[in-house]
Amino acid sequence: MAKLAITGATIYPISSPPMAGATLLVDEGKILAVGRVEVPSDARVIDARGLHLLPGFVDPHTHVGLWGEGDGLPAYDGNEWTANTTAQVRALDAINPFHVSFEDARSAGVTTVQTLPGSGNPIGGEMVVVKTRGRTVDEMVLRQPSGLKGALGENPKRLHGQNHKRMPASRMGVAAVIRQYLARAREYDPAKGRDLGLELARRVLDREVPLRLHAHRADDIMTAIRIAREFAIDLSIEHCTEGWMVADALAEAGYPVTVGPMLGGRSKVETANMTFRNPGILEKAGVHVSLMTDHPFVPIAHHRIQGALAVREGMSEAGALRAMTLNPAETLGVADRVGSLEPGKDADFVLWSDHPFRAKSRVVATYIEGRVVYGSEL
Amino acid sequence: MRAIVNAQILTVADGTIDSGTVLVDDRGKIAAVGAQVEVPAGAEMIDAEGLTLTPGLVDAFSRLGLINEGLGWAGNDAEETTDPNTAHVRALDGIYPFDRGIAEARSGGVTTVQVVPGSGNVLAGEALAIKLRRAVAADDLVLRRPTGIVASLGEEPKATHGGEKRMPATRMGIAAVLREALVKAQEYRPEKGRDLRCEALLPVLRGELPLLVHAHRADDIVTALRIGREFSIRITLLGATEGFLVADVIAESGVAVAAGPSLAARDRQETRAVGFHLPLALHRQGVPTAIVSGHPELPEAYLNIAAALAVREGFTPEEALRAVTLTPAEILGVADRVGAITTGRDADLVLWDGDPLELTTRVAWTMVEGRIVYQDGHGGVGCVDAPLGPAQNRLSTHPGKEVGC
Repeated sequence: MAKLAITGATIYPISSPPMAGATLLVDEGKILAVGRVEVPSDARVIDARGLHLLPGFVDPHTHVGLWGEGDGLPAYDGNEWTANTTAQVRALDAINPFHVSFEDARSAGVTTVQTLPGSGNPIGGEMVVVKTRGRTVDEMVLRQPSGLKGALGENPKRLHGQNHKRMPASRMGVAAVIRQYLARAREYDPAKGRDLGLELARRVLDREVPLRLHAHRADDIMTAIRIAREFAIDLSIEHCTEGWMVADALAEAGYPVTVGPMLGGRSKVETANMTFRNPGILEKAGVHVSLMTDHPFVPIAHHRIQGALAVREGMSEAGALRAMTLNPAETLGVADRVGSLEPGKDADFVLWSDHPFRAKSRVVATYIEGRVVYGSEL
Repeated sequence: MRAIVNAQILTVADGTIDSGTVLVDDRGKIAAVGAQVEVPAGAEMIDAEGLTLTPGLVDAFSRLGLINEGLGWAGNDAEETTDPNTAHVRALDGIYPFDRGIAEARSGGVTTVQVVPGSGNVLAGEALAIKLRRAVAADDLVLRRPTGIVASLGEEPKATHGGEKRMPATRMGIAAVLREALVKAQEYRPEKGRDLRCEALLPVLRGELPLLVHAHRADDIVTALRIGREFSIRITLLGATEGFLVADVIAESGVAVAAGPSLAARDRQETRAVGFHLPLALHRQGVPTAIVSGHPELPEAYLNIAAALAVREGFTPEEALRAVTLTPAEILGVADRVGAITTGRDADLVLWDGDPLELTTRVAWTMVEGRIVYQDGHGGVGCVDAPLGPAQNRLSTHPGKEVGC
């Protein structure tokens, strides 16, 4: 692959301030240089004057490839609802790379997603980070496993307690199921017989991967923090809808949060206090914030709209862009590869017709590892 | 008398005034509009220098007030799912004026909404048009009632009723249930015992009200038009996701379409083709086309964002603004009152701090019938300290949290 130079665009490296009329130099699918750099004579040059060049968005909480939206039950693989603890299941095994949601992601400038099991189970299963282009999921994997999915609040209560008349039927029960699982993992001895679910828990206890807990209500958020402290594990707080109500406590606890989806109705009681002000309030409090679509709950094609509305309601523009790129890359443990335009990182970038927070802005082309995966080569 | 001066005025009906004045009289009507309007002595002046004034937005397809924000099952009254024909239920009886969604809708510049029950029943009940006045009783929100009787074709009635092992379980069954209800209403004799289901359909059979038909798949759309012809009744289409496949057929039929929501998930097979290509295709065929929220699918407060994305798809800004103001007002039969800034219409106005079709533009204030019902910094989207209702009261007592409302 010849060297590639994209010249003349306004470049947003994220890790440093935006630069007008700058150059991005790509070689072998990696970023060679960004900024005022000399274009090598052997490089293919793309004139991107007038365009905006950003890193590919990283959406840290999605069900891309997994949910079968519009295809009904035969294609739905979101929740393994047959038990309340299913750490042995892997999102990896249910991702359909040919699903239209991947095309949606590429068309919206999203080049990396974490795909995860649903929030029906207190302990739901293994998560995976993938690039949004490929024929086999194995070649798309960026990090696997990337975490253990768990859920607090309404969903496990409804699915198990209400629908299936088994534990948990209350928030007390949800926390107990999670504690019981982590406590068993502490004592797990593979010599006495392997348990695939507990093997993942051991990696959580060893802090190789975090527990990522669905928590909307402020008390659920604090329960997540309480459990993480009890077991001295890494945590990310998923949704964090009432985070603005406990922003100080969140900042003090220091765990990263992933906020969203926000461009939708408050269909559940635990989302009653949803607000686009949340990301801005958390940003000001010093919390490490990422934005999510939770695709299909907000279609991933509208990721940028959530960012723009977070800005409208108080987040800084730089903060919102960071919350869609470098911050989620850090939360997912893949910031060495993606999330910003820096030498040595993957050449995952997007050419936009305008700043992505402007209404009429369009993706002109999306690149993953130096190759066009959406739009056309200029 | 109030005078809004120095505003860029997007009148919708009569073009744009770069810097002009709107006079609002004490009855809440627009008394004058123009670049050169004499402001009467003693009028209260609102200087809108650098800001943009539009008509209040009108949404032709919403469940606002029927599906309450954050109240879960207890606050969902959009569907009387117990029978495939509930033509006699009224959206008016399910609207909760304290729903936060209504307060937030004002903060997004929306002032008139058609509230539509459904869509699990073949005949779902009566729709109406409400104004987002500040009021504590649903009766005081009414602009026009009823605006139509709501029907549904396709997946949702199948799932709602077939799933309960009763008719309809197929699209054939849905059409049969609808035809039977219309025939029964044609033969209705009140002296033999009143039947409110039949009575609700009489204005539809007389051509006084449209049948508002949820139909997404192209064949469902065509079925709606077929039944409309059979009974010589007026049809307005709701949704119409695959309408772009039969746009010429829709155009020929002369029906209007509350198209979308297009900023929504493809949550069913029949909505897999969701997108703003739909309103564009219909509009280009000359179909009267409203861009809608389908609240809460897209929350009502973001109707302007939907219009903005229609511009990205190919609408001109003027066409997109009309599709969320005057066109839906015409579809609802309330264009004499709302939908444009012209003398004699209601003073339903929105002042924006920039282009209303830009993602980061804020509403400075929203006016309904001459009264400011929302002001930036006092409630609104994402405002967790909104002024009305029990849920909001609970929130506003949360200790020590300054959220800048």
